[in-house]
Amino acid sequence: MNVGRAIPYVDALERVDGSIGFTINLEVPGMLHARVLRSPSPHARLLKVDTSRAEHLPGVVAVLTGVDFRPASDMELLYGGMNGDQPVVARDKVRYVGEPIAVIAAETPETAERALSFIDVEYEDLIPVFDPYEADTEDSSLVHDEYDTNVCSYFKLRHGNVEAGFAEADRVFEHRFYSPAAQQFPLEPHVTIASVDASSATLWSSTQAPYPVRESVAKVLKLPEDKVRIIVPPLGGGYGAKNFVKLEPMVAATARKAGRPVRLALSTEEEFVTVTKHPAVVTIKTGVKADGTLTARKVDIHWSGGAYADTTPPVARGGGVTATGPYRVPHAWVDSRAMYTNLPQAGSFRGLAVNQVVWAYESQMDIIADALGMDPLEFRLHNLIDEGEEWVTGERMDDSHYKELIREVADKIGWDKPSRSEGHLKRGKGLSVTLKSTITPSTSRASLKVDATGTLWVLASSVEMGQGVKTVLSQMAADAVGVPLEQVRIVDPDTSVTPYDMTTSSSRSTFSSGGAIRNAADSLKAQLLELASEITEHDPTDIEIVDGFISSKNSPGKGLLIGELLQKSDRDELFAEGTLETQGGLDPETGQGKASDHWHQGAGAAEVEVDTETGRVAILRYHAASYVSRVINPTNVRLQNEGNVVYGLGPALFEEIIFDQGRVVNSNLDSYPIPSLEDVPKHLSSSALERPDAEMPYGVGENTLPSVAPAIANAVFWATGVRIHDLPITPEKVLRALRAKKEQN
Amino acid sequence: MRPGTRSQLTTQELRLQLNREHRSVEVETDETLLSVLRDKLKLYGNRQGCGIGYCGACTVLVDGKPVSSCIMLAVQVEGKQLTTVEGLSKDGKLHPVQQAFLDHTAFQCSYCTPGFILTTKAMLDEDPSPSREEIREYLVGNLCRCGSYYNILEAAEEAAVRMQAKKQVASD
Amino acid sequence: MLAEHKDEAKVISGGTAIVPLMQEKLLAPSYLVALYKVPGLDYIRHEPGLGLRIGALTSLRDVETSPLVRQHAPVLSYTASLIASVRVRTAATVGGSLAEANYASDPYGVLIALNAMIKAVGTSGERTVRMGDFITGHYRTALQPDEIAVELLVPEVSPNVSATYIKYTTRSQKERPAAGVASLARLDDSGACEELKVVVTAATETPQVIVEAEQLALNKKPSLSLIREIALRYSQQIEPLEDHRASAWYRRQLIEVLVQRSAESVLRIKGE
Repeated sequence: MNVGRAIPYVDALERVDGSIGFTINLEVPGMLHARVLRSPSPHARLLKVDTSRAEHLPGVVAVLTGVDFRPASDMELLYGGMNGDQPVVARDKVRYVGEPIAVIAAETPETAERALSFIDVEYEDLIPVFDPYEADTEDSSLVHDEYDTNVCSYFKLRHGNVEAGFAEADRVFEHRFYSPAAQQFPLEPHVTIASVDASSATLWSSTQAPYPVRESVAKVLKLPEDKVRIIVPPLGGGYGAKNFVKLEPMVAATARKAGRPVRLALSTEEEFVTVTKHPAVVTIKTGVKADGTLTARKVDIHWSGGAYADTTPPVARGGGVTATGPYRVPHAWVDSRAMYTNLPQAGSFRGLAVNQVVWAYESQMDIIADALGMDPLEFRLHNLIDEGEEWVTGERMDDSHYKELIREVADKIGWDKPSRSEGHLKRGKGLSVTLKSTITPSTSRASLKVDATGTLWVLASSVEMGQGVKTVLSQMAADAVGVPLEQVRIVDPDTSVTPYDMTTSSSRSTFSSGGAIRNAADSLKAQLLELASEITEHDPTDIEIVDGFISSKNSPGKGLLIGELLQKSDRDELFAEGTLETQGGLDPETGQGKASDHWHQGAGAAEVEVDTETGRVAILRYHAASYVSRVINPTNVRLQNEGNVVYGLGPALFEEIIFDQGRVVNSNLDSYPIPSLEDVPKHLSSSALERPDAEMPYGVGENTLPSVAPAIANAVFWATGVRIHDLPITPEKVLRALRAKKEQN
Repeated sequence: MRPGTRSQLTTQELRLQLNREHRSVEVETDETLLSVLRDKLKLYGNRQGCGIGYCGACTVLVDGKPVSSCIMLAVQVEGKQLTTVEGLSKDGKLHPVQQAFLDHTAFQCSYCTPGFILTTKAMLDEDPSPSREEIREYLVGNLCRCGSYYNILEAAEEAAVRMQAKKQVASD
Repeated sequence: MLAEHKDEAKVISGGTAIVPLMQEKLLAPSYLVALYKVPGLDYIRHEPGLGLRIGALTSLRDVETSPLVRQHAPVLSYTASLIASVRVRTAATVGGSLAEANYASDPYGVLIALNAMIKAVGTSGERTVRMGDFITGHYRTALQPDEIAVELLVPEVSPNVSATYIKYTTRSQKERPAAGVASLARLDDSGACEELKVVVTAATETPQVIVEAEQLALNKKPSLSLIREIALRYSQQIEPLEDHRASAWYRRQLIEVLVQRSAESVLRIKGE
């Protein structure tokens, strides 16, 4: 039995000897090197893009610009599965600083780099809009003229009668919270190599979503989808930055124009203008009775989506639908508006959309608890939903464990023992709970194959980005069919070989691909038993597969290895495909329906020490808990739970992209630090909650991340009495708040 | 790599000891060591990260000490001994530091892992029994975005123990 | 070579400062003078009566771990250990780091407090520059275009001296300082202050010393209120800059707190 065991990762050896193949290592014979000319202006008309001087430089093979996408050409300018508004390169207009205007493909990277300054561009500056509220006004400059509005996506939730709910309340609280842009920062940048000819295309890309990439590239190249092949080696980090479509259309188009393979690898600075976390302002209004019962919640979210839609619609929805939290709220109203702005596109960021709303509602829960004189843990327990309760979407929340989770973290942080403060060093503890949806409806397919060597091949399009998906799926496949783990091989996603999967994001792969594998395994086992029955003349119901050995249940010692069975039957291979489809969806006007097939649930508790003379916040202890339904690999679960906390410390305490008139000011580690060993709390621990009878594992990729910032902010509040509303929780903000509080008293 | 924009690039023959082998490779005068390792010698265990010497993914050992190969010119290691992750295993067996990282799953995406392994090796060669605090200090210049730091610390501690034990056995 | 090629030539020793600048295209020299090839500049010596003599090509890591530095100027060894990481310190050299003159750096304050000097060599000969005069601005030093630093001299430190450095970062625990305070004090047998140096770094383009505040301590037995006055004057008289690490306002608050803590430490007064 492999499921539940902390087995070493199946690719562990390549990881420690450095031989693992990342896309950034790849070379294709004859390949050219690309560099991108990027807009210096946040909003301007392109009056002229003259590439003639660049094209004549020795070593420059092709230059791609918007002109190559004229209606009659062999390429389509716009792609993007969400709103379909993304141009391969800018044409007529640039909408953010850093937007690609031209791509140069040359024999060497140095030549391509040099050629950039030989392209002449004339701009006519237009008025930019950066703030989502401003973008949401009548007079605002339009990011997309063709749309008449800057609204990229608008999610609504209407449940009960929110005004009646406020009327029932004894007290009403309204607060505003802000999350700035941040950068996912995978250490391996985006890299794509495209090899394109007249009738087909092959791309190797560091992407989390091979099938959406295939769809967009096929559209851009005007090819049938099955003529486009996307191959995905393991990623050197993703965290959402590589979700959906990024470089691929641009590189594919350049390769078509050049007539040779083209490689583009981004610099760290370019990563910052490729995709970011959504800045968001959340205004949350809550009605509560004197005994602490929530009666109503009204939430307005204004997201800055950047210049193109990318994955903004799911963000507006995912954040909007969870904006009232895992609480019993009889009357709820949410307006979640994502605006186009003249900033780099915002997209998937680990903990998609939920980070920004948890920051708001979990911070406010403690503000209310304080005002009511209630313990924050008790206040939450009083209002958290129970198993099977109806929620603000009208759906039944089965398999809910929020109370268990918050009790777990509170217990582990020593909630009942008050923190000791000394002199100017004040200590305090804070809690937070998280709920997050997973993409619903969704589809994943996976295939299984056994061959005459007895090897069980797993073919799934879930991308390995360090979350251990290859290992986890191998464990599940081995157990589902009944073979030893050593006989399992799992291939890299390759759309010509591995079947459809929506995307590797939203913490969905263990559940979705794992589920599809289980279904495929049922079918494969049936085929094996059928085949064995033919050979042995036993009834299939009398045969079992244990550790790769097929034998009769009555005489387990006598039988065949799977490989022998195939050889005896003269079969090269047996093949089975399985699908896992989830159903659901929400009404576009009311947000009622089924938001998520199942829910990702997490909690966190922090103990902090604040130096009240400098405002510096030190995290003494942090405990994270996550409901995982069924643990497949305990090592993997712990790495994800705790890795999420480390990742979350950045945006909580210091990560923030700073823009100056739309230009990113801090685009590398010297000005945008990410958490180092020194930043990790000395005491960091985690728990994974399971149900003993659970069949399916839930994902753990994101559950414990969103709670980090509010748990810390709540701890700071209980330590010092100051409340931070705008992330990140910097020493300066804390000191300013402390001084302001002192003035008031 | 992106060198300066001069029109005359000069190349020279670089001689060094790479993973205990004498090597000679033609390099451009302003080419970084990382670029030579990856693009010329195809040693991809040395990773392209931030490009400014902060993340440590490009760490190599020069005369046994860790340096950022992305901000070192290749010509600076003329005549020196270079160790990359590819040179750590002996006779098909992993170096104890590599084995400890494997056993403790001290990685997730593992892009940063060779850098951590080499730095840990350099640390243990210099100080065979560091405290956890000393390990933290020595490794602080290596960044892990996936956040595997705890497992990394555990692996480094284990590696220290195992390497000490090996020395005991060897000297008995 | 530097004299001949002027702006076209730049010096490289460890490379940790100049190579990133070249990668970012901020510098594109036609000639790189490979200082690291020059023999005889990598040494740490102690000359009794004179002090520590550290060659410009000595790595920061060697300064940090040198038994001589630990013995004769332990605050310098400690300060070096705070710079970046072991990996960076292995390649970065004393000469290179000092000549880089990035305002957000750690060692300048301690070196000024220790009255360190830099020996520079150029086409017109040799000269010595006081550390306090060496940094003239962000990325600017008192070195002439044809000069290089060849040695750092740290004078003998008297036995009854106490010195410390506080490094303060506002974001990651591991990054360049947003503010730093180096302090040094000498008390006589009666406990009165004979000398006090307080240097604030990383808050302005050049290291800052407020002499009249330092002098408040002279010939007095130190007290908390005296130190508070010194700290207040430092925060009032320094005009901090604003950058992505901290605002000017915040730096001003930090200066007061850090000078207070640093001075308390070297004057051996316990804070509240």
